[in-house]
Amino acid sequence: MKRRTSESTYSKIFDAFNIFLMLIFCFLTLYPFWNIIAISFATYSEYLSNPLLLFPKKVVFDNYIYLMSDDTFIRSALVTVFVTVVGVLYNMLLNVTAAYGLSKKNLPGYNAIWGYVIFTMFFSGGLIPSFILVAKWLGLMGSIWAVILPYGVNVFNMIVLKSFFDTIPSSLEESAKIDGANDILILVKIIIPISMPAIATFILFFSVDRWNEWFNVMLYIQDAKKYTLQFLLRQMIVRSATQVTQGVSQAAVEEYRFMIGIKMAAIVLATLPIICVYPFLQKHFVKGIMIGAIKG
Amino acid sequence: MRIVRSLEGSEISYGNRNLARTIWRNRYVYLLLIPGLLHIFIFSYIPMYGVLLAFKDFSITRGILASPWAGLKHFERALGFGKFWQVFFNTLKISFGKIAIGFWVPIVLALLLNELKNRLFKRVVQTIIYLPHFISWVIVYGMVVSIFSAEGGVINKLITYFGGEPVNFLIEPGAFMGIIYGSEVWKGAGWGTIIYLAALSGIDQELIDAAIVDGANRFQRVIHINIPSIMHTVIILFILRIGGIMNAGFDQIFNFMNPVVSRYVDIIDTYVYQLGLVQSNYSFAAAVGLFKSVLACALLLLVNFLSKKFTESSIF
Repeated sequence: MKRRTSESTYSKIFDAFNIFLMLIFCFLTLYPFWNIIAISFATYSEYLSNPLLLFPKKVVFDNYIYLMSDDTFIRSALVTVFVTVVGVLYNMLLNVTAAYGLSKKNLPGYNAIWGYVIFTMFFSGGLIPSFILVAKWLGLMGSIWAVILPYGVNVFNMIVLKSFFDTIPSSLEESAKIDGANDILILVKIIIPISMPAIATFILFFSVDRWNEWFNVMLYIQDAKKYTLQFLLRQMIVRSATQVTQGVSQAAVEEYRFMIGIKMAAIVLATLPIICVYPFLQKHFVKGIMIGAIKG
Repeated sequence: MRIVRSLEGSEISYGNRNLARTIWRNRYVYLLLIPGLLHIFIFSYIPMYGVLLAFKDFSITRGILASPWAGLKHFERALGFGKFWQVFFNTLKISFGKIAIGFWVPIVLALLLNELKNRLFKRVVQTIIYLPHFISWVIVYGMVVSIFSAEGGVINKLITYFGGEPVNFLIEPGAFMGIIYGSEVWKGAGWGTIIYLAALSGIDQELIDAAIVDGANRFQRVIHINIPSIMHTVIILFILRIGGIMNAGFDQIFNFMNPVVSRYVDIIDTYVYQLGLVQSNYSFAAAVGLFKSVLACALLLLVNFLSKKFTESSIF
């Protein structure tokens, strides 16, 4: 009896310690976000004088007002929305159809098709040949399609989606087939509706990738009017920070400091859509990943 | 002759005529496969043909076919070049560093999360720690700057507030590597718990009850039930991680890097970008890239073989 009580005491101490650890981990995760939000709402003089700046004494919206009246920012937000919407539609079209096809193991030629798809996970031509393909052979240099098209298929996601389709009992399809429905109709009318959790998960994953796109913009886009938000942010943050770390001029440092509130506000605005959407889909994507995991 | 299941579920065998009929019956499935397969052909297979330019003296005006052959010149040049070996070993160093520092964090986090009794608290914690996964490296760098920069970063503002001298963490090689590893853990550790939590949630409750009856305390249950039950997942993820060792994280390093620290953090991918797309040294860059692709492919085949052997399940 005595041992039991002491054990449950240890257990309680552990629980308290565990909760404490989790709170620390959450704080470490959230602090960088909070810091950026605080800087974006603080006045420049308070940013300079208050080292921790957990809660700005005076909340100002100047940085946000500046961004909202800045054509470059608004335009790249619109470009990003376009890239995300069109890109995700394109992703879903290609990946869902191919994943459905790949779930038909009895298809004549299936092994060859599977090998053809899987091989791309092992070997890739690399950056330079892909660049030559898009820029020269496809002639997409400077076009927004050079940003959208190359990421059409994600073989890994396609396979996870396929293993989700594998779990659907084939009796559902067979009865529809007897009623005369063809495979395209079955996919649209039966498979997609009952796979909504998986579909929603991949819409989220593809949307995040598209929203965060900057690399292809750097490779193929010269016209600043076609910059995505992330690339614009990269120009604002990475470039100026590199200049400052090299200590170019006092003027550059001053300007860098003065711009910081605007940059942080831009980060907040560019991150907001993701933060708003993802908690609602959490249940789905956890399920989606678990299916991928079980498939192993 | 192959055996297929017919619509009615009975097994039939078919010859050439029946094969044609089966293909015709599945015509819509092929139709659905075409867009994805075509896309893979254009964006994955044509670049594989493009690796030819690693064996040529490629000029963008002449194109691949008309450019003169260079044999293995570019490979020989790369292998005899100090910079190449520097980026090669940086790639390995950073990859192994990330594994050593980051691989166990999600495992421990998942085990701890699994011990939380309050379900609401657990869910809130999960929501918070998954969040950084969705943030781009560009933005993570913005956060790094706002915390570590010598010009108005939080830490340096605190140092000067207490009368110290500011330290430029972003050009101090040791501190910079710490930021690389730390931000990697910050971004990925929470997300990494999902797969382990899935394995933990699959534990049979009867097993736990039986252990309680046998007098196992909580710590013993974690050691003898929870950890063994995620071991399979741990091994598979570890093997996969080793297979990806040639990818040290382009997005992160490319955004974080500055000229002062570049010799410590330049990896193969950033080097290929610099060579090919900044200096327009296409053939040499393609040769370095191909070297990496071949090595990565060999590694993946090896780990796939190992995983088949040890876990009886092929990853691919």
